[in-house]
Amino acid sequence: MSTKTILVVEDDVPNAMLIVTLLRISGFRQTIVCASGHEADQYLEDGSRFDLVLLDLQLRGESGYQILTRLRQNPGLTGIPIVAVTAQVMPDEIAHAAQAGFDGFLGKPLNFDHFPDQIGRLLAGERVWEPR
Amino acid sequence: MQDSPVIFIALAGIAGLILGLFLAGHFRGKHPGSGTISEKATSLHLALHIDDLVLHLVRETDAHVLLQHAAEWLHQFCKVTLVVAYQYDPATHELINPVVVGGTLTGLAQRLRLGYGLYGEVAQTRSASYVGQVLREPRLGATLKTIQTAYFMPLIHDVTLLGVLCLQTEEPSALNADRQVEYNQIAGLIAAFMMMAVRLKNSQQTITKFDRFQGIAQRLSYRLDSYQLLQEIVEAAREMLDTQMSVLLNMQPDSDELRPIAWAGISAETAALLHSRLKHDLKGIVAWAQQPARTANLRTDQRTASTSQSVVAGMLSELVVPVMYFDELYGVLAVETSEHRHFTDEETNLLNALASHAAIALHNARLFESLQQSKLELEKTVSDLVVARQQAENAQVAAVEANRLKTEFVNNMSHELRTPLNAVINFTRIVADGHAGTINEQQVQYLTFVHDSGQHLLGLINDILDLAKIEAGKMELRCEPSDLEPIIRGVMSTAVGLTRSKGLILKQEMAPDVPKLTIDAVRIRQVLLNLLSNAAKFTMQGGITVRVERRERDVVVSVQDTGIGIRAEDIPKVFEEFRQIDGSLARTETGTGLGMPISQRFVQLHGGEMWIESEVNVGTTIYFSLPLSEA
Repeated sequence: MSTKTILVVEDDVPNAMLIVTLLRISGFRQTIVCASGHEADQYLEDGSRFDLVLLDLQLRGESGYQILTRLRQNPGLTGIPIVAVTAQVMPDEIAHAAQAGFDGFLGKPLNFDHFPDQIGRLLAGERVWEPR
Repeated sequence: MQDSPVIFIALAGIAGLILGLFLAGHFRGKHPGSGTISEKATSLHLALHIDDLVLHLVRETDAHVLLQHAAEWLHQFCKVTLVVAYQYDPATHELINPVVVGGTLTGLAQRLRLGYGLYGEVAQTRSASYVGQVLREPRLGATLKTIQTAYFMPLIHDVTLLGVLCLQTEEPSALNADRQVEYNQIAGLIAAFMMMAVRLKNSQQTITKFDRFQGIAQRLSYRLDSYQLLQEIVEAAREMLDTQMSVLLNMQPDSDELRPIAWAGISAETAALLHSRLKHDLKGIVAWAQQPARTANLRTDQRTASTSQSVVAGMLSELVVPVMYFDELYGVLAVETSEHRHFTDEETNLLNALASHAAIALHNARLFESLQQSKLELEKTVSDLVVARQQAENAQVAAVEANRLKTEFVNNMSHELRTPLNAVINFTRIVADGHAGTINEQQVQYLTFVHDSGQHLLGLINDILDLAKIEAGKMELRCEPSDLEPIIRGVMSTAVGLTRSKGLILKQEMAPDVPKLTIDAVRIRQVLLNLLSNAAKFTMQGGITVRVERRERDVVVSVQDTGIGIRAEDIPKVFEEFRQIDGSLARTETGTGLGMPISQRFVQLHGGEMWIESEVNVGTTIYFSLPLSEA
């Protein structure tokens, strides 16, 4: 059982629950789910520390890119991989994500069989770009 | 050309003067030494005054005035009582415009036909005639009561008859044989001057006509409005030939009709009467024979008596010439007059010349019209093209917009479907795998159905995305030198899952000399997987063989099955989007209908081709080629 703490920013309830479930199956039980960037800010302000951030790109309100920019400036997240998790898997979007500075890209639907390995590699500091 | 009339007149004048002086010298030299004193006196008298006659006649261009001068001179210097002179009109063959000096003759014929009376006879026979006893000569015609003798002389120059001169005296001796010789010579002199006058007048007329003609010719060269010019030509014809009217008939295309196109001296209503047909009347005959024709009397001329509309229009004489442009007949040009008139060769030539210009004008008009027509057609074509181009541009704009909307729609659809599918596919898997508690076999089976359906839906979405990308030209291959063998092996191992349950035999035949190919391995794997899954889908028994052969310039990969086959007429449909061959079995099989079109396009993007050979109930072989690397 891993002791890593993973922040999931996702406002679609079934998808948020799915990610948490998949992480739990993969052995990661310490997860925090936020429905918005501001909620994530709150956790960081309160002193929470994370080892990995899984960030949905299409949130209602603030976009994933805006959140990324702010999270990058947060000293509490220095050196922490931030990964785009999105159903938007067109080449333009993937290129945009790479340019914005994401450390990984996981396309939806997530691959049940590959997911534990993908998270493991990301925590090991590897760039993981698997849109499909 | 402007100077020539002056020069011509000057030359004619000088020639006349020289001739006159020569004749004067002739009289002076020949006669003073011969004959009686009285005769000598008369001769001398004549000789002294002949210069006066010459000076009078030399500048005269009007034959009638000239004759008047000559008669007065004769009356004054030849001591004759009466001088009568007629002019000869070659057009009518008549003696006309009599001049009488020395008295007044009532009842003198104003016109005399050749051979009529003594004047006519002298003119016809062209020989002089002496009448010693006037009272015994009934053919003399009107004269004075006191006249005893008369001497008639034809006025002839070279072979041209110009008139008749008659000297009459009250004394018999005044017209004796010696004097007759002198008078003959004077008559010759007068005739010479008359000839000169006629020529001078003709030349002046010709020059005037020529000037007129020049004007027409010049206008012709730059005038596009041919009908205006035709009007000018008919007016010129009427004016130059001094006729009552002129008309130009146009030959109607593909018919034997001639219709008035321009006229002068008549109303449009009258002109409308003058239409004709080939051979119908004089105009029709000219059009048919393509030769000029003329008649002095339309009523009596057999060719026209019963047919000519000109008679109805009150015309009597007619001259018609064909209007020809090289060998092509455009119509006829006619001049007509209500008087009895004999048109001359010269007039015919003149009308011919005008007709040739009318022909050019008509030819130009036809060219111009066809040019106009061509221009209109060209303009129509151009405007059609402009419209077509505009439509094409609009269509293109609409197509681009439609494409943009489609791409946007496909992207949105992809996103909107993936999000719920993420939950559907993965939660069913989570539950089916027992992560959410124990479930029974049937529940596992049902959840597997849900999961597979979700996967199928995902495959469909991915295919649509690929197709949209290809169509938008955004599908980029990531080509690198790759071996085919591991790709095929990988696909075969996946396909085993599809064929094992049916008991199909999977075979692989690789040619030994296949080099590395520059390909996008991911896409080629996608193509092969598609072909193999199709083959597995439509094959109930037998097997599937994947074959790789090397050709000169490419490598051909084929997937052969022993399945249901495809009818020949259905083969092209295989590559159509969203198309599954209609058939009971095909209908029962799931498929997006996009696999084959996408596979074909991937192959084409690689520079290869895909084709199908198939026989119903025997099997299908699908081939695709991949070009060998250049190096």
